[in-house]
Amino acid sequence: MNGKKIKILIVEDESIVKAIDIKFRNAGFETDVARDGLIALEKLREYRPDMVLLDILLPGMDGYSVLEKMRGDDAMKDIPVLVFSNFSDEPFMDKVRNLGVVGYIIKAHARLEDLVAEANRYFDKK
Amino acid sequence: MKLSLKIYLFFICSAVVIIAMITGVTYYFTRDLLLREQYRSYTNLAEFTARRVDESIYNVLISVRSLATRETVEEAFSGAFSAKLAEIRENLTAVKDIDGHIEEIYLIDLDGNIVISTDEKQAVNTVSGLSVQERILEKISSGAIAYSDVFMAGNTGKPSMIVAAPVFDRHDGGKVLGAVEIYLNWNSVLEILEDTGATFVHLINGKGLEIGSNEPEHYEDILKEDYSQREDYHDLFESDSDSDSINVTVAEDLHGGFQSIMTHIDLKGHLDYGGNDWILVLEESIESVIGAINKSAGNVAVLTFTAMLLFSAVMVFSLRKYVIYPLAIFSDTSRRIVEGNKDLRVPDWNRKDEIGILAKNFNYMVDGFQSISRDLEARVHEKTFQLERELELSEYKTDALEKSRAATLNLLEDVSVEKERSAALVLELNKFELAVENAYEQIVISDPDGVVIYANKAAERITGYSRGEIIGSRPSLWGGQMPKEFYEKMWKTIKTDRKVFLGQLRNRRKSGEIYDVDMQISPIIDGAGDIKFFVAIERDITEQKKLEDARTNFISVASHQLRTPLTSIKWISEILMSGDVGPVNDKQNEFINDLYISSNRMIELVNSLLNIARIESTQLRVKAEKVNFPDLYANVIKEFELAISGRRHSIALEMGEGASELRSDPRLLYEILKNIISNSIKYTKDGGIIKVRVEKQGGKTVISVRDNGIGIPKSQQDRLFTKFFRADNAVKINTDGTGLGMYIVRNLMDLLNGKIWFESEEDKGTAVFLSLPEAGPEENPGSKSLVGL
Repeated sequence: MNGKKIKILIVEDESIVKAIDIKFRNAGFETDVARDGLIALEKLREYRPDMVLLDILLPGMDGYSVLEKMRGDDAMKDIPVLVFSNFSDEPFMDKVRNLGVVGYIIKAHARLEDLVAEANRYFDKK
Repeated sequence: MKLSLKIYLFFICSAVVIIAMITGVTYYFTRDLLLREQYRSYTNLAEFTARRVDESIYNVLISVRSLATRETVEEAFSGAFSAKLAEIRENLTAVKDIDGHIEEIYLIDLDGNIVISTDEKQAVNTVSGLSVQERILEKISSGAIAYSDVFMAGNTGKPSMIVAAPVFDRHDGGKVLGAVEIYLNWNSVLEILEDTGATFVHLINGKGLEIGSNEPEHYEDILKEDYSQREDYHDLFESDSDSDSINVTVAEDLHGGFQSIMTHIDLKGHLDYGGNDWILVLEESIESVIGAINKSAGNVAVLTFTAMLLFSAVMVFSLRKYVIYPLAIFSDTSRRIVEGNKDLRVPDWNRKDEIGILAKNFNYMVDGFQSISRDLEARVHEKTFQLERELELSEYKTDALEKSRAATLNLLEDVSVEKERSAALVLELNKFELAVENAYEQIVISDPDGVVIYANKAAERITGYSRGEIIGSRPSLWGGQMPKEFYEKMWKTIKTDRKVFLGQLRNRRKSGEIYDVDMQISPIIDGAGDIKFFVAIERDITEQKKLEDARTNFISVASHQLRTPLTSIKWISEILMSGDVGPVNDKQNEFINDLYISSNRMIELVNSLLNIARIESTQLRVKAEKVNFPDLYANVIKEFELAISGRRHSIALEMGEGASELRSDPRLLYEILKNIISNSIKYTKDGGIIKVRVEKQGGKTVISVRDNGIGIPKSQQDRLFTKFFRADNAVKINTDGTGLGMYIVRNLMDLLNGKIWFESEEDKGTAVFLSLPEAGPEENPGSKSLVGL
């Protein structure tokens, strides 16, 4: 990682965001947090993360709309997105996958470790 | 009156009138023609006879002139010798003998003295003093030809006529010496009259005296019968004295007694003979002439009449054969058809005319009426049957009380019981009708082409259309909201495959409102194997659907909302235990681990409930794909690696020949296998043996999972696949089961078109068997998939 930390924007409105933030930072990532979709879009422009950890059910603007906006914006369309949510309707998941994401993790079936591992797997591959 | 009789009457009357007219006209014209012909022939005869009389006189005139120019005759006047005179007389006698018209020849001088005569007995030497002679000599002396009227000659005592020519002096051309006189042989003229062949012939001179007739017995009347005394003399004979006219008239005959046709002609003579105003009369009895003519005309009329009669007969025959007979056949056939001989038809006699066309159309119409009547009959039968049934029913009802009262006394109780039973059966049938009519579900019966022939009350309620609108139309009236493929598949199922079609579809009420139904269409097939009807039963599930949608929505939201705090608990326990937020002591760690495990169990329970909801909502997506069983098995085992090794179980897969691949839904099969293996792991004491075997059996893939675990108590085995069931012995060793696993498995096996069964003995072990069809499951493009994968 040539000294420079990988920047991750965690988009999540629940209190659990703190635990996620700690886990990623302890795993050696630089993080920022957005607690709703609109803030997430602002931070994407300012913070310019290397990856977005994106929840779906959010106040302000939902995760799917954030993803659509990103894919329609030249400045953000190449930022990898890892979606994590307890929303597990198959057709919806397909729609999200079709917009090009690193993965769709169902929160309840994953451990925090799994989230970190998924991110690492992506950057290791790179 | 019959039409044929009318036609005959009309024809015969017409024929009688026409024949009578034609016969009459023919008779009249024929008669007229014959009469004219007859008149003409009389005219010709009269003319011919007159000319003959004329000619005979003229011939005598020629002879006289020729004699007058003879040298010897001149010599007789100029003083010949007596010997010479005798010779001359002989010559004259020879002339007289040759010419039949000549009675006697005289040579007379201007003084009236006879010079020579052929009449030896006539010793008269002079004829002077006779008025006839005087007038002749007067004419002769002027050098002209002379002739007399008919007179009774004194020398012959016979009627006669003198024709004389002057004899000129040879040396002095202008001087008349005397005359040659010929006394006409009157009989030769009378012979001409006799020759005519007419009934009566009269020759009358200018004074009205008869000078000849064709009746020899009337000779003595000559010059005695005087017609000029008759009152009608002028009318008869002086009609036109100037012209050579011939008159034909019908009048009293000259002697009276009968009507006659009279033809008279004025004789005018020719050349030097200037004629002498004689009149020739031909008489013919009108009875004989007209009678003959009438008879001939009558014959012609009879002939005409007969011909017309024959012609009429032919016409009547033709009329009968070509018009009346076919009409009679039509009438007779139609009457007999009406009387019941329905299969009768009229022949068309191979005719292309109106009768032929009429026959063809008549038969065609009878066919048509017959089919209509058959149809009607069938309907009447049906209605009669219904009425009889209703009648029986009502009779039954009224009889029922009496019967029950009389039952104890009725010796024929058995018969009564039998009767009651059949009446009850009718009542049952009636019940079915009522049931269909009043069913809450829409029941529609259509013919094989889909045209609705029956709809119950509910159909009106659900579609919003009246039965008048529904019956006769097609279900597309309220349908047609689904993609074309849906209906194609539906028709193929019921019409081609002749199977029951089950499905949910969207329809449209008359008001335009869209609604959902659960539909079932069954083809009704008759004994011959033909489709008679389709019976479609539709249940309006719009409300149910709304509830379901609400429930699905609720489940979606609930699963998210329930799992989110559980996820927080899980992840917070995890981060505490991992030491990321500082160290915890062993005791604390133990409790946090319990928390972690509990949260996972809660998540599992939520997932199970979620899956049950999805299975029950029929919204679960089902695919049919190629599945590699060893790969699938390996994935399941991977999930249980820790548990298996922790319990020191041994697990093995046995593959039957050619059994590694099958067609099914990999996700659902994974869930099934996971649940079964999970049970074996949980409910087998440590160090247990689990065997998974796959083999092909008669086109099916049979998977078995066998363990040597605690088994299922016999008394509870029948409840294994029910919701929330947990066996008593299972609860004892493991408290955290949900009792939903086998219920889910059984339902998923249904979705995969498979079968599940088991063998188990308490404390010995359990074997679960899964049988999956070669063809795989029926695909369902549902919107949900199982959670927990």
